[in-house]
Amino acid sequence: MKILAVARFTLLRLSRSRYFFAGAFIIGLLAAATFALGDLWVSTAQNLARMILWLMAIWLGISLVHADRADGTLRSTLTRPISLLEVIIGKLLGALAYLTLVAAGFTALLLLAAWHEGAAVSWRDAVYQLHLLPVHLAVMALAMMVAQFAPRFMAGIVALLAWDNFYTAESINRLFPKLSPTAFDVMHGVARVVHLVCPPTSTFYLSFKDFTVLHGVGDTYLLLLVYAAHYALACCLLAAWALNRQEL
Amino acid sequence: MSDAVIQLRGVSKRFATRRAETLALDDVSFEVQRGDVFGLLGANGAGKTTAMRCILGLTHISGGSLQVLGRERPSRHELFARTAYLPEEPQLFIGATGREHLAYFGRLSALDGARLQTRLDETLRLVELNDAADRRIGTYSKGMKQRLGIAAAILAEPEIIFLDEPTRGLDPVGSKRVRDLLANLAAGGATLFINSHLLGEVERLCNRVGILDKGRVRAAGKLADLLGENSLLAVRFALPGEPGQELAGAERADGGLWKTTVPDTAALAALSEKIAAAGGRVVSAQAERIALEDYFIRAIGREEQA
Ligand SMILES: Nc1ncnc2c1ncn2[C@@H]1O[C@H](COP(=O)(O)OP(=O)(O)OP(=O)(O)O)[C@@H](O)[C@H]1O
Ligand SMILES: [Mg+2]
Repeated sequence: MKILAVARFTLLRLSRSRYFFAGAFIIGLLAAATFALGDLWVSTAQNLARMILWLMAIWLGISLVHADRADGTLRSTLTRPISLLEVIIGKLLGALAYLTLVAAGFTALLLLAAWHEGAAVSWRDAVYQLHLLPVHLAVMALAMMVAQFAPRFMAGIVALLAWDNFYTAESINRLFPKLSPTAFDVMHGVARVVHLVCPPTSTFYLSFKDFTVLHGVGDTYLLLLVYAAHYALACCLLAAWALNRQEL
Repeated sequence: MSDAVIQLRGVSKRFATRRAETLALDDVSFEVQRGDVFGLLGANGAGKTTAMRCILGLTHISGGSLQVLGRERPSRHELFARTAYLPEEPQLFIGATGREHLAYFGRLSALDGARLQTRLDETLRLVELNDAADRRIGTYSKGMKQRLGIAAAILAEPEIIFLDEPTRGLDPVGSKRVRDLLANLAAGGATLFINSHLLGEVERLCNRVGILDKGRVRAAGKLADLLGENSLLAVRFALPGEPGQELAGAERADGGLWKTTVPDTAALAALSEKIAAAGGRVVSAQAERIALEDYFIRAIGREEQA
């Protein structure tokens, strides 16, 4: 299928980009830190991995279409019997596959570290990075969509604010203790709006635990995946609409 | 019914930027028939690329009507399932290998499995890239990139192939290779639409041309008709002891003869009388097809005078 051809090519592109090596380097650093920190691995390494994946999702989202526009491959792709929407969906799928591979790498590392430290690991800890993928998909789609309407750094900021840490007043205070009241209000306000327009992220953080208690992990995960997929599709439609009105 | 696969009637294209407005195409009309090798000629900025992109629906036209493959406004899907486009600038991801690049475009054109592999091998051989196929495109020379672009265009065996300056940046040998390749495709029944400012190339390849100048069509039609209409008579004559320049600006030819050209037989009669009066004689008079280059310069010059 043509969407899969685009996804495959996107995955190839990403794996050949120099950022790939930067990513590998970061993973290496993370691994070293994990071993050095010993017992603290659960909190530190997992949080770090989560943050890196989140940033990667944002970076992938804002550069997904722009990279193809820059070297003209978007133009040449569109001279084949394929629609812009299909191209965008394919690119998003390719980026998701890439992110999945990286997350799987992190997971493997975390498992290895746990085994080395003799720490007990429940399978839920181990899949910690992987089960966030629906959220990453949503964030990536959000960043990609906003980047078609606004400058890329703006899209980056918007997607960053979708991070759960900016949703609650306490966590903003914890992260930025010296923020002025006005700045705090602005940040908190924007973060809440972003969470409204990107429901998969807030839904995940607010109710994932409750959901898992009620429905079990498998069902919750499926539900979230379907939810995020719908959200991503909506973002793709909007992005395609924006791109269709531009000279590519 | 005419067999036109591309038909433009009064097409115009206006680019409006904040500062200025450019009329890139102004009342452009011409047609291309199935099996033609059409050359759209014009200087830099004449509007060739714009015309091609309009036909392919890659930019919207501002006025007039345009038919491709018998349809007023074919969908992107329909159009690109049956045509292919070699853009002016290479549009390649340099991190991929030539084969990966081609495979991607093949899959987008609904080729897969064994059929894709066969076409990949055939096409790579045709553009003589089979040795470099598994190297990254970033390591290719300009000519190789250009040939890879052509390979991508012909991969899915389209009915019409649009090529925007196919020999751009190629050396004479490379250009000849590409020309031969295109001639073979044409012999195989494909319709080619070529943008170029290389008159010699167009003259050798094309059977139909359009001449574009500042967005307007100066001439369009079959090459044989256009040049035939404008045939000249080449006259060689002997004129003992007299300076031939005074007779219709003649030039020295070998064998002590003079040569000049006249537009028609009436002029030839007048000239031969003059020559006879000066004590010379006409040695030969031959119909000569004028070069496309002369025709091109005249077509553009004529309009400028008017
Ligand atoms: N996107 C655009 N915005 C504004 N003006 C444009 C645009 N594209 C082309 N033009 C203008 O349209 C005119 C024709 O350009 P076009 O690229 O079609 O010429 P060309 O015949 O292909 O020239 P070349 O031989 O240099 O490739 C030029 O004056 C150009 O400045
Ligand atoms: Mg051009």
